[in-house]
Amino acid sequence: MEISTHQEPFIYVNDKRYEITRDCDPEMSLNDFLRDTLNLKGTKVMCREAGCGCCTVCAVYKHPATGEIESKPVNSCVTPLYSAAGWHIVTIEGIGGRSQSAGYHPIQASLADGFGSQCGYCSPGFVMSAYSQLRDNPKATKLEVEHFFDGNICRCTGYRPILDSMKSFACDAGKAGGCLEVEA
Amino acid sequence: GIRQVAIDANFFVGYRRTSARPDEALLSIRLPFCGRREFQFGFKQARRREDDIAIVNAGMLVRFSDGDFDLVESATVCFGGVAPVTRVATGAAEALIGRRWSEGRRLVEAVAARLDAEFPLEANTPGGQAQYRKSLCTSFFIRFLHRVGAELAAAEGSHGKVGEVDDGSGAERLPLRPSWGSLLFERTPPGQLEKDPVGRPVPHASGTGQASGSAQFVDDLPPSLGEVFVYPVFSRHAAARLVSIDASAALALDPGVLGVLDRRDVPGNNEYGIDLSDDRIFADAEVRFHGETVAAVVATDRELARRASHLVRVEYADIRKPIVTISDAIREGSYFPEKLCRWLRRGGDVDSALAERAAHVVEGEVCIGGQEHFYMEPQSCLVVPRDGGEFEVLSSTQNLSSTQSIVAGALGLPRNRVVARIKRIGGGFGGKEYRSIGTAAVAAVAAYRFGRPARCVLDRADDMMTTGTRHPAMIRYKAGVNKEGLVVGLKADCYLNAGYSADISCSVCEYIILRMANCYNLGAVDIRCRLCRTNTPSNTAFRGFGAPQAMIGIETIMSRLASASGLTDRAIRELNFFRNGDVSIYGHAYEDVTLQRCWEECLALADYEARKVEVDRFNSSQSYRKRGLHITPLCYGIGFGRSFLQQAGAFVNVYLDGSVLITHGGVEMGQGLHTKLLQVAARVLDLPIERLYISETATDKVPNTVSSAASMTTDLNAPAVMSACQQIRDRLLPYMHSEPKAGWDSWVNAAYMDGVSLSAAGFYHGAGIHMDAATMQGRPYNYYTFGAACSEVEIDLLTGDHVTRRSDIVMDLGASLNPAVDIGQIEGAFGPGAYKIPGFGDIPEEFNVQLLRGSLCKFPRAVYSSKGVGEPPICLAASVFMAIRDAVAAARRQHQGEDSDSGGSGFRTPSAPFCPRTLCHGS
Repeated sequence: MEISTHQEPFIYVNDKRYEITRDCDPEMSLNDFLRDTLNLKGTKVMCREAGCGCCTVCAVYKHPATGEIESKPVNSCVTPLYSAAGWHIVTIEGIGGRSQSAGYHPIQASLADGFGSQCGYCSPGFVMSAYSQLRDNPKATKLEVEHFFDGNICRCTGYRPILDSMKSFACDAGKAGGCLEVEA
Repeated sequence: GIRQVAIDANFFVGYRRTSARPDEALLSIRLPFCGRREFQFGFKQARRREDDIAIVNAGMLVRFSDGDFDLVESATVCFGGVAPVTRVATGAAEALIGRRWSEGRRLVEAVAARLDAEFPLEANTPGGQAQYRKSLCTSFFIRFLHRVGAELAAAEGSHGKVGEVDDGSGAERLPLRPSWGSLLFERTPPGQLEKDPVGRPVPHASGTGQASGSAQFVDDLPPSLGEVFVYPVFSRHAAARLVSIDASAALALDPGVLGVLDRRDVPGNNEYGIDLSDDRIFADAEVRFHGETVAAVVATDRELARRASHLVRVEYADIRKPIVTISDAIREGSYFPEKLCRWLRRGGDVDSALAERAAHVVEGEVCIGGQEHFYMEPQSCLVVPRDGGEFEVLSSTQNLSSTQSIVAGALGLPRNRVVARIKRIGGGFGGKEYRSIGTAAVAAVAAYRFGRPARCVLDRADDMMTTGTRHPAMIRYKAGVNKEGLVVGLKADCYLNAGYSADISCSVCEYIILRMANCYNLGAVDIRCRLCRTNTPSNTAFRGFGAPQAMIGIETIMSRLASASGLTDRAIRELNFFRNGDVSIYGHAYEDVTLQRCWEECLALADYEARKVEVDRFNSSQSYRKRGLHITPLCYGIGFGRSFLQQAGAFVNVYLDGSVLITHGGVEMGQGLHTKLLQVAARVLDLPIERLYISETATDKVPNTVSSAASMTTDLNAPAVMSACQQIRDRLLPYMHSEPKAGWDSWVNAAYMDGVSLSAAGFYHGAGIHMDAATMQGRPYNYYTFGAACSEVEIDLLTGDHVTRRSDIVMDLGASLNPAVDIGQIEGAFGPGAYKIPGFGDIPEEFNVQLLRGSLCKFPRAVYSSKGVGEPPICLAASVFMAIRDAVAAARRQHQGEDSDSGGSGFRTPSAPFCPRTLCHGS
């Protein structure tokens, strides 16, 4: 994966490099750029103040102090596009499901199979929160996974099925994830 | 150059301003380590555990004297949330110098006195909750005292005793443990064919699309050529005369601002409404609430429209003090007309029943606050003008036919020129049953005036400002039981805050009365509900539709009757449960009552009696923490209350490759409607579910639909879909008989070659429902969904914070069509019923859900013996509220020696932290 080493008006999105044009509004958010300029509508937007998490994308960047490559979930709604210059952004489209043939990312499949989406508006944000943090911490424990989603709101599910779907990726997950399903 | 500034009492210079100069940038923050003699901790209390701003937060540092780790040398104490800026409590810190940590309570008293003087929050202080915020300051100091005490105790050779009280519970906030639980549902019967999906946990039809972001919502559609964006201009006054609208500054902003619309631009009706025509697309002579749509800016892009909307100058006159609350409305006599209000009397005069037969009578008032729907997808609409005066309306709404009719009315067109359609909506919860129409109408007027596609999507804050919530309610009651503990009478006066317009409030009024009996025989009843007209957004349908308010009301009453008569919470409920054949308050005999089974299974699942003992033991041993355990029964009638509302249509097409396209009248809002309907259609057609597809809901496919609401959408649309599928199957029967082995695709093609129609319209009408509005007697429901929930909470008496330690739910959903979807509805409804927009930390730590085994819905027209599920479980969240009430009662018994009957007045929902805190301690 390509990552720019210098601050320059370029941004990578899902393996493609884009120029941030000079006439770009300095107030343009990363979310507007993804949704309106690139037409990547999988990333949702709602509160526009980093309160709901449905606009979450994965930012991969070189840490300015340590030089390490890190990936973090960011709220694209409050991230100015210019501040993301040089970053590599991975959106929900970048990890799977873009075409029938491409297949789904395991996180996407797990959320769907685990009944973790009802209305579905928050789902891409949850998937990208999990994806970003699992990238950075592939050996996360169940307890750590529970705290992945402090910045995400879901209004439909009551969270349990989302947590169960996501906890299946924890290193200490049993086969059943979190909740025990019993068919009597 | 580089400047270093200390973050001290001089750092914050104003609201959201620091001593940093405008031309300076922050380079780094230096945090010194604590020395050996120093202890520092931070504290925060917010309404939610995650991702929420603090009500009050605090940072505290103490330095002990060298050689004497009990003697305070210096201290720093600062607070956020008690003033416009973070404040250092110099006086409180001074009060600590030279004092001994082991003084404990006397140290708290000294600090509390100084804090009182330093932060004299008045009752009307910005942000509200003055008393609570003041008490939090002291609480945080108590917590600091204990935490430092614990550190000192841990450090060898130090002093470490913190006064008289310390069982460890004062030092820490309530712990967050990982959540877990179990789900229990039945297997499909042994004989059922593998490919028959009914009753199986089939995944949500759009699940992978939603999880991969390819599922589209209205605002995900790319803009078409020439599309305009519309943004409303909202009223800045709640009650005033509208004098003029000056658009010049907005129009001058940019050539992309194309125009500003107001009521004069509406070609047809600017007024709409259900019982009264009192809603306006654009305000006319009067504005009636802060946030009413006055005008709308039309621009070439979203950002421009938003920006220009703030430049439209609106002149108001005769600005009046608004009527905001129920008490305001009662004082001013501001009600909607009597014909919209309801009154139910049955079983004789309540006052004489109470006087003659009651051994114990309780009286009081319950207040239930509003609740924001907070559907994730904001109100959104895209209107596209089509060939020669047709309009296509893509609206995020639960109610396509009303959207169609009101848009047609606004544009002065017959309804056959307007198609409203939607694929899915990002949550509704009642908030898009009627309040979505304003957004659609504004977009439609713009599309009409400019002849271009017009999109309107509200920002979250504006959505919350303009669309209204669940009805805040106040219930004044008087009820009594006889010597045996049987309820002999209930008198209740309910007041609903309906907001500025009638909307659907008349029906909410009716339902809060019908739901008031929950599971009980009540003797003589006199329940009246009035609608308060206020200068607030119009309150509207909310999942449960009056039931959550009624439930909090009746369960509070039952618990107070229990205390008054010396019975347990459990005993008084069991004594008064209705049984088969008992007659309801609306005069219809209950049938097929499975309440007792749900109740007993829930008691067993929760191990209720043993845990009750354990909770009492915990409460007697802890001074800063209390627990409460409460079990709540539920009876929820399923029905639209009016016969004509119980109708639905469907349209099924079979194509020559054998694939099937289904359309029906219900809106998919996450509840799994499409998934369930595909399951039943697959059974009727005897096809694998993969061959079937539902694309969208549209008024040109199925006309005159009812709103997707009242937990009825599957019950109504499934029979219509099944009827259409059956018609097609009947037409194919001759081909199946002549070529039994040929298979579906061949039968379809053979039928086509013979000129047999491969599409069918299905229709369903659920007759047999009736209600007399004047007497409130009739049969409003088809059948009942029963359930019970038992919840245990722990509250932190210092902050009022609580955690739900465990919830156990048993529900009778008949033979569930899709147990995983239904359990999702139960879990999903349970959370929002109890809290302010819950986060992860707010769900029960342990959560067990069981569907009642061996149950069949006996209502003859039930869909394969299943029951409606969307709304009932939201009422079970009352168990959490009641458990908090129990915990508060335990605290009051300990601290004030009061009678346990704490809920007489004052306890209100939502039980945000301030409520338990202030009720436990008074001041």
